[in-house]
Amino acid sequence: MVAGNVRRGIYAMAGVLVLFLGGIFVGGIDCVDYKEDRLWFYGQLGAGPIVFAANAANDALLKSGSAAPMIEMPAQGGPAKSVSSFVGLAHSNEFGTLFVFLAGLLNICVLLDAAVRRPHSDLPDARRRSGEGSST
Amino acid sequence: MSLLPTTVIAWTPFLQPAPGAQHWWWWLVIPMALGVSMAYKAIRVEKLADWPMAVGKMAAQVVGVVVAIAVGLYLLVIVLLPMLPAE
Repeated sequence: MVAGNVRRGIYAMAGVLVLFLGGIFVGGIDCVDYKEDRLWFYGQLGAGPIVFAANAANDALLKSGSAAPMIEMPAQGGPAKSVSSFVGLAHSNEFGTLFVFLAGLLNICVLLDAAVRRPHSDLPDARRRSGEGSST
Repeated sequence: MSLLPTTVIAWTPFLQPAPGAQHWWWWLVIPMALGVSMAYKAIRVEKLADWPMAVGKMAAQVVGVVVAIAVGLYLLVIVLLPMLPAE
């Protein structure tokens, strides 16, 4: 299963983790939310199982009310709803969600690259990238 | 510890949103550009020895373009548009 480009993979993983952990750091685990931000979640899923872990932590700690008290929200035409007082709002939630989403998209790019990259080579696949090769 | 704001002392990282993000959110473009550049350049550079320099260059380009767009929009909205004659 190991294609031999371990160092390149570690560099790519570092970038993905900077985005993922940065997003959770800024927005809290609430920025990974399958129930309330489903479309974002689908993009975030590209980052792999850690997204399920973050979503499970969100369910277990925030949505259940075990980590912080729940706050009653005003009903807006529907049933009354209560949310955790640790839920992120505005910019922190927006940027946290975006960071994790970008981590997912870039991890998909890394997966696609790994699928076509020649094993045990730090050079790009010549079949796919003939004529390219810019390092910038 | 007494120099830290109470919002930071009471903050649980990764569980709660970062305190004060409403005030410094624009600085987040730097880690965002850095993370995107790190992952992208890892699959793009031919020689991995070029990776740190390529990451720095791409991150600087992204931040520079975002700043340029911000300055351009500021000039358009705050300076140029008010100069138009009002009907």
